[in-house]
Amino acid sequence: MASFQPRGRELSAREMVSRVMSPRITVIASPDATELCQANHLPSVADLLTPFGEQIEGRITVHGSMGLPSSIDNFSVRFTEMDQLEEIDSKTTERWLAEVVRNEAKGFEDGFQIKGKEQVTSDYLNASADQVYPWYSKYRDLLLGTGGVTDHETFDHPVASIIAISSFSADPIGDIRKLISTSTSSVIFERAYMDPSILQYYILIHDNARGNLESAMNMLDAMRRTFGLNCSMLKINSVNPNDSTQRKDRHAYLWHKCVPRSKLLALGRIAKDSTGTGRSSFSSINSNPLGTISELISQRSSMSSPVYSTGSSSPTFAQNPVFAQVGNDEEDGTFNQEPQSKLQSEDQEITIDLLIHPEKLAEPYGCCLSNDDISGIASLLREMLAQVIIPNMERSIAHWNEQVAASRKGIAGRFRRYFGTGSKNPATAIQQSASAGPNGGLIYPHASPEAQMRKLADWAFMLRDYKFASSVYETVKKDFASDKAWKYYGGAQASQNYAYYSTGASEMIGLCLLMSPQSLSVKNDIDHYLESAVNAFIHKARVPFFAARATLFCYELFKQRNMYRESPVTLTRMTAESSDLRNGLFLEQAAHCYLKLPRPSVRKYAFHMIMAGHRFNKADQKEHAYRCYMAASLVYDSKGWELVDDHISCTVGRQSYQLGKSEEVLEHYTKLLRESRQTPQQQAVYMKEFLSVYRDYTNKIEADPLRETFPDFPLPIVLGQKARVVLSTSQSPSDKSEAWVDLEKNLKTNNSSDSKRTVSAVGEHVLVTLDIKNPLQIPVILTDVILGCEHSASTSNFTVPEDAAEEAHLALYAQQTPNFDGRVTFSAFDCDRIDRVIMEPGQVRTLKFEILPKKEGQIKVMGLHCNVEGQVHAYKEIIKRGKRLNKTKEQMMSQVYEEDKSLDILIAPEMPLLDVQFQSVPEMILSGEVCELSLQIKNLGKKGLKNLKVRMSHPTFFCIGESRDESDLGLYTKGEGGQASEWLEIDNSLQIQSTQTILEAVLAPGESATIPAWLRGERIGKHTFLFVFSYESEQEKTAMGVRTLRHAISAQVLPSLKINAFTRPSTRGLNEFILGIETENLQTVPNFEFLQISSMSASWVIEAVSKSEDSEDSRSIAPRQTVFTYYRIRKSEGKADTGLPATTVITPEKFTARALERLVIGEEKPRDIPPPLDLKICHLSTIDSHINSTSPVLKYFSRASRLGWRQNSIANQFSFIPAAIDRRSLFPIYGSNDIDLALFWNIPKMNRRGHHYIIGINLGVQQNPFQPISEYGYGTEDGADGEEEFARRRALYEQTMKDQAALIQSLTSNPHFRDESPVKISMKSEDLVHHDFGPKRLCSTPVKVVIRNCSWNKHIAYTLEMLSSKDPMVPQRGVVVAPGSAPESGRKSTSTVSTVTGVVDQTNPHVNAQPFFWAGPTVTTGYLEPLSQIEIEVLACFTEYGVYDINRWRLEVQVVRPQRAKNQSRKKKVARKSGSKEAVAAAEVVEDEDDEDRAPPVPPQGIGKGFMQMPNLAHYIQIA
Amino acid sequence: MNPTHSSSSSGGSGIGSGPVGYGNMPTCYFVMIGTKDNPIYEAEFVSVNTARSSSVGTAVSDAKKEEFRHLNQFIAHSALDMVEDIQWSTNQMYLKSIDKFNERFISAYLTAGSIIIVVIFCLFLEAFAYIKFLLLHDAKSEDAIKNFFNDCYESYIK
Repeated sequence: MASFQPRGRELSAREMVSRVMSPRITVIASPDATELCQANHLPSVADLLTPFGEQIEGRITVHGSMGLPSSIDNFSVRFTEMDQLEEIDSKTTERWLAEVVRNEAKGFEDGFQIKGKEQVTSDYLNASADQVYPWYSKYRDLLLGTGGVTDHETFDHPVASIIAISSFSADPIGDIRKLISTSTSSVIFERAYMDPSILQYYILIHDNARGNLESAMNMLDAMRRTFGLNCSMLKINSVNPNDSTQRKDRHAYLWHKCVPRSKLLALGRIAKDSTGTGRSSFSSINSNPLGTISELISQRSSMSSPVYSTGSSSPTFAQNPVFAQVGNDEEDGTFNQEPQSKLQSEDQEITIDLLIHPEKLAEPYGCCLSNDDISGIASLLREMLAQVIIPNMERSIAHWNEQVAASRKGIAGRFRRYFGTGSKNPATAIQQSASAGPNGGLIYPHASPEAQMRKLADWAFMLRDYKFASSVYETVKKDFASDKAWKYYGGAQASQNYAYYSTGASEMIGLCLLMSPQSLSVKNDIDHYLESAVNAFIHKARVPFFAARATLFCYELFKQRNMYRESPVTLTRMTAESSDLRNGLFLEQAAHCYLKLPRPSVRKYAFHMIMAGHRFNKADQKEHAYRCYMAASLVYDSKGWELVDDHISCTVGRQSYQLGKSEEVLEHYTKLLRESRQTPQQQAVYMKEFLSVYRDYTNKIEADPLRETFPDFPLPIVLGQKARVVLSTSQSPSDKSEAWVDLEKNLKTNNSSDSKRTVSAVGEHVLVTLDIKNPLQIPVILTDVILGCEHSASTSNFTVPEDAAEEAHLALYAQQTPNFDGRVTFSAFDCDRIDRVIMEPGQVRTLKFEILPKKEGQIKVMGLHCNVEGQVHAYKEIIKRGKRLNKTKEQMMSQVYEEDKSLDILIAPEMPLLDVQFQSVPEMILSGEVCELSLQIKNLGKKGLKNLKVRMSHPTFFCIGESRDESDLGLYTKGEGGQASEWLEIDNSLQIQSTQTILEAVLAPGESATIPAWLRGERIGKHTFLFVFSYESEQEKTAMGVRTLRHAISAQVLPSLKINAFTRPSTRGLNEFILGIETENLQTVPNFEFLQISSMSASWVIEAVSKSEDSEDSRSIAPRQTVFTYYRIRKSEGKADTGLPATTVITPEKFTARALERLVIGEEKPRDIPPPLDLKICHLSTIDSHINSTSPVLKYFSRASRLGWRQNSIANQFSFIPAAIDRRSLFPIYGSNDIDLALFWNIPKMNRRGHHYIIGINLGVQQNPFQPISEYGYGTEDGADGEEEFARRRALYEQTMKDQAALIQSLTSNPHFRDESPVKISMKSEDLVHHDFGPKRLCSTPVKVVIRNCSWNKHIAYTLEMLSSKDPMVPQRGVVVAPGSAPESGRKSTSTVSTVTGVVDQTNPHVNAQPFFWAGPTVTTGYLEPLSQIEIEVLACFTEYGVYDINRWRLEVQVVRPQRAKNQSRKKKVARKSGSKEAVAAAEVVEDEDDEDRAPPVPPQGIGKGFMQMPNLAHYIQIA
Repeated sequence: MNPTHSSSSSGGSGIGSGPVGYGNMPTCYFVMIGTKDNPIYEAEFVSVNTARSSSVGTAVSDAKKEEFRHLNQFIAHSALDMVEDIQWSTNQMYLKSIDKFNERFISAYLTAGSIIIVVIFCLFLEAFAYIKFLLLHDAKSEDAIKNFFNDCYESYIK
């Protein structure tokens, strides 16, 4: 068994350093000794020994500087052949390194994908270097292996020399002598710093199989005799290589690494020699094709430039945006073109194989060695070390220490140094000139004390006496440094060199500190030492190799000590140095160090990776550069650092192009084409590059770029949220869209889910508008732009086929050439195509596409197809989100959006399509004027149209659809002359005529119809009238259901007449009023002419005051003039004559009161509608015939006007009633005491006619419409009724207590209504009483007082007190006047004094100068049922002639419970009782005495409100 | 090589290598960074010291400068790690000069909501003037930078 086992594990950093810094032993072998080795496929003796030197068996005991023994594990030595001592040409090394590193990148997969801290797992931290960055260790090992002898340190100087001869040698002694002489005369020793006196050790190699052992032993004895004890014999080759029983390569693993390495180094050194001397050339290669490998190698290296120079002269993107021919296979390509390239490429391969695939060239190394042989070698080496070399080193160390170092350290030494150097320095200078050092600077010869000191320190270091070494280095450093100071005059060169030496020392000090096993106390020192060392190596001495070596050592040692925080600083210190490869590697290592910090600094990592990538790129390590950038981009991903992202995308894109990864190039370039801070020039370049790459790519995969869709192409940006589908039938949405929606609200009968869908019909265009944006700063041209739509036959659900977009595109692609008319035809629909869109930088454009559906079903607008720059086909999905959902918690936490269906178009079967047009619409119209219009409707669709309805925003302005007479003003039809009044029963419900049916019949396709319409200027101002027409198809159950059409017209209404009306009670009777109408002509030009006034009321009629006054003056109003006209209004006779039983009559007031009561009680929603009401319409015409205001159009207008007014007033007065309650069932449209007036006019000269309405005159007593009543009388004979009624009332109050208290409160104290006294009173008497005061002193005349209860439901008790003129209760009013007649005039005439104030004369302030008084009972009390009246006769007594105001009384009115009329003793007469007692006077409830505080404090006689009335007008009587 | 690349890692430890890339304009780069490492606001402006340093070198054309703008972002982003290290060890909002990349100094200010404001002061001066000026600069502008940050913070809050 072989006792020697090489280490399999990775070396620790300290081991690595000490191995690199291990003693070096040169080997000189005779040719036959080499031959013996070559039988084992080992090129030389040194190679044979090398693997054993790497690990010396067992412990080696070393005596330190103090003489104390210490044992060293894993001691190692290096073997080199004598001629291999030189360092390798640095350029060759670099090439090799680049090759190795490049090779490692191939096929490497980044297994860790560091994006953030989360990815810095223990897996990553524990991963071996080979997993994360295998190239680094390769690089490190190779770099460290290429060192050579140098002047400033002695690690690569041999400590001993082995001279090997073969036992076959005839003259071993002679051979040895020959070898010694060659070795000492070796070129290397010509150098001043090399110490030629080296310890020699002699080995006799014996071939066990062939040679004679005895003679060999004799030879060894002879050698010992001649050369001393340093001789030993090595027996090898005990095994016949042809023996098949044993595997030939059983020991090969020992040499696996070191043999190729040594071969390689040999090649490198030869290369260096050849380049140095330039002795070989192309011609020599060609003339000597059979030359040795080394020769060939030398040729190769001399002409290696074409291979390697690509790195520095590779075409750049800037120069060649189309990338020229940069590929991975460039080397082959280059070589194939050259005739002599074959041999070279073979050599090249050998070198590369040596570098990269040593196992390829593996030979059965050591095939002739038995296990004994191998252990023999190991033990030989151990013996040699322990017995010869190490003791020798120890001796030397001790010697130098004594001789040199000690003397330096002492004061005497210093003294001598400072004063004795003068003699030595010239010598140094001479030596320097004799041997030009590598830097052409000053060199310490090996014998100089400084060099010896250095050697001493180095050897101590080799023997791992770090403390001692360090102290010696310190001394040496000082010496060097002071030398530098001394020699400063020698020039920069010299001073640099001194620095070089001192640098070496400081490096070593740092290393010593690091190597020593103790914990570090002074980190800063190390850093300082190393920093100065590295800086000096680089900047002053310009030996980057050593700088790199120092950095590597330092980094490795830091790593071992987990000093990751310091490592990046160390590593990046080198960045100014020229080798990009090295920098790249170091930066990458630094990046990884950041990750290994206790708190991983991922961002630093990323940044350093970027820098590393950049350096790799410069070093022409494309794979590495790409890898670094990719790793870093993971960190920067989606963080929004635009410039960073751009930089990465751009760089990576170009790199991946160079690596031939077309797909990735495209992917990265697409990231660049976006909105960013790139300059336009940059973007233009990117675009150009992208397009060319894409072209190449598509050529490569043999695809048509316009046929294949580029996935996720970033251009253009489709603003999906703004995508709209607009039906060709719908009108452009105006700013009044809310008004439209309001109008359309009830017209659509579809169910709610479908109401949001866009519905179109087959054969009708649908317009899709889409906003696209060019994010770039350069213009982009889009061609062949078309919508990607998908058709589905089903209308309910929509499943999009997977490749829908692709399919559509293919269809489009197939059609685009033949169909160049801007429209592409698909099976289910046609779609517009836009040939060319030029998008300016940053521009947002709205594209419009028309889709023409051809089949029923659904069309979904999916996306946008376009060709960008005519070279790339892009498909952009239109993503439109609905409202954000916020209902559930999950929805609130995340952003969930409603599905948007606005881009799905439901395609209904063919539908009718309506077109409407109003004809002869005036732009301007006078207020009140009525114009004739006509509405032209046309069915443009393919199906019949029916059920045409309209809804208007201004229903009071328009009357549509009533048929028209032939005459030009059909609306003002002249009625039959005689009938000036008529009864008309109308629907009294407050019905909102929301929708009006115009046409029910089917309008066939293509047909049109004209429908009459009228416009009346209802209100002044500029109006836009909105109409929504709705219609259906004659075909049942289509998806669309009801279609609507919006239409709008506008007109301005100008003021015409200003009308004010007022009423005054007439003195003629209780129920007569005088109506005054003040009419002002607001126009400047035309004369208005009154035609007619009509009244509409249930219980009142209008009459002329006197017909004779109807002069021309009042009929016509000149511009800017005001005219007063007066009419009388009186109670109509009623329609009771018609025979309707009064019991069935429910007056509007009663209806309201009941409805309100129900509302308060909280019964279920009232559904009743008010009963129809009879209106008496009365015309007063100034012309011969009257206008029949009952014609449908006028009826419509009057009703619409009334309705509008009524709705407004109800909304004002009862705003507190919840909106949910239908007003229609609460209030009637007409009250029984309302009177509406219509004033017809025309302008003869302009042929304009119109009418005004005067609405809202209520001649009844004011009363709150909320009058809680009960159905049946209180305290009636029916007890059960009473109980029931009581229960109801309880319920009412309970309800009231709770939720409806507020409602009741607002109803009862409605500020819009205040109860007035329901009693009207008037006096009747003779106007003129002739009396002769002679015979009779007193003149007494009867005066009738009529008291009427005008309330429809209240029972009252009254107290009438007649007051004399002197009564202090009577206010002395000064307004009482007598017309024309004054008391002083003495005239005794009677006259009826009109109550109209306009005609009174105010000359006499004291009318009742002479008092009068009442005779008989002056106080009367009584009871009045609703709508009943009573006449009381009193006597007025006068004592003198004069004019008296006899209107002197006081009336107290009290609302009381109803009493049975028969029991009323005081009631004298019931007049005008229109209804029977049971119905009208049955019940009266007065519930509360709460709020009527306006009544004077009268003692209550009953329950309820009390009123006090006093006369407010004078009633004159003249006594003559 | 591609000009975009040529000095993204503009090397050198500064001393001896002289100013590299980016021009000689002492520009300031100001960035506000959100909690997800995303930049909220960025601004670049020429520092107040222009007058002093304008004699140092010729101004580099804007186009050239344009090419190095991404470097600022890189630096600012990588400085966040330093902010993260420091922010738990201090209760100050102004973190002073926390990082340095070549000749660029990075000061940071941390708001209550962990929005980080980073300012990079780039000083490109000759090697001799470098140290001297820096001392001056530091002594003088420490407060200025702090005030600047405070102002920014206030306006940001508003």
